[in-house]
Amino acid sequence: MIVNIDYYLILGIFLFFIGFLGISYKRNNFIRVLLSLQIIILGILLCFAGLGDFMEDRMGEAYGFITLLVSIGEALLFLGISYAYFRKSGDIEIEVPDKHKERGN
Amino acid sequence: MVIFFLFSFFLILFAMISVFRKDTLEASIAFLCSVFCVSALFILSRAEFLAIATLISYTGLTIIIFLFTFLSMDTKERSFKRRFFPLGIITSIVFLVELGIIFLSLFSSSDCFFCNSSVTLSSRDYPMKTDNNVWELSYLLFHDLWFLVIVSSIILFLITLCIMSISTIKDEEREDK
Repeated sequence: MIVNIDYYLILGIFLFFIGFLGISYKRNNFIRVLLSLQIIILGILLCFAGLGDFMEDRMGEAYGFITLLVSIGEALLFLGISYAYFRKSGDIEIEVPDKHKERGN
Repeated sequence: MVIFFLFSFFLILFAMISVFRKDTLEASIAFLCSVFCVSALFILSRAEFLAIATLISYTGLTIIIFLFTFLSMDTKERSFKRRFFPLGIITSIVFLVELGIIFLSLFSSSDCFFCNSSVTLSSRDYPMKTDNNVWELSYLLFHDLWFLVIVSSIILFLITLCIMSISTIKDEEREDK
């Protein structure tokens, strides 16, 4: 173990926080939401790899690989949905409905 | 330790750029750079297989995102992006030169991997205890965790089917109209 496990976990949590901030704050574009989700998954993968190295076991890496497979599938699904949205509306910007306008206030 | 902090700094920097940058193309390039930094950190934590898998799969994903964003742009914005063309050419030349150096060093060394015909898969005992962890991890994935691998592969297959069916349904709807 070259680097302490704490650094890996802190870095992973920090990445998770950045991605979460991106989803909750800048959710006006499909691609940006997708990139934020992938940043979150990168943080999780980093935690897996650090823990696997710390415990001197390949199990962390194996679970990281499976998570990677599922995350790639999720990203492809997201791209498919955004492609369908783009063909429907001609833009990848997400239109968030204004609740006040819907209520007629 | 210094390398870890260097790559961590760049990782956080590129992650913040990819999340908060307004231009989607630049955000996707920054995301690719952050994936590169994460792969370097994986190698530091002795997870070489995961590093290579991450790099290959996310590079493909980023290229798809890049193309999708580029095709959804207006013509004026596309011509504006041509100012990055010289930078792209220089980067491509640097990568090609690096690739050439790697191949030359592989074929010129005495223990050339591609030239050594005595290395066969059948002569190896599993699990291999070598310096690189690929054999060990493959044994773990396809022997101990085979069920999870198959489930994740089926999920990938179903997702691909979903995407294809979404596109087909949309095409049929358009033709009906």
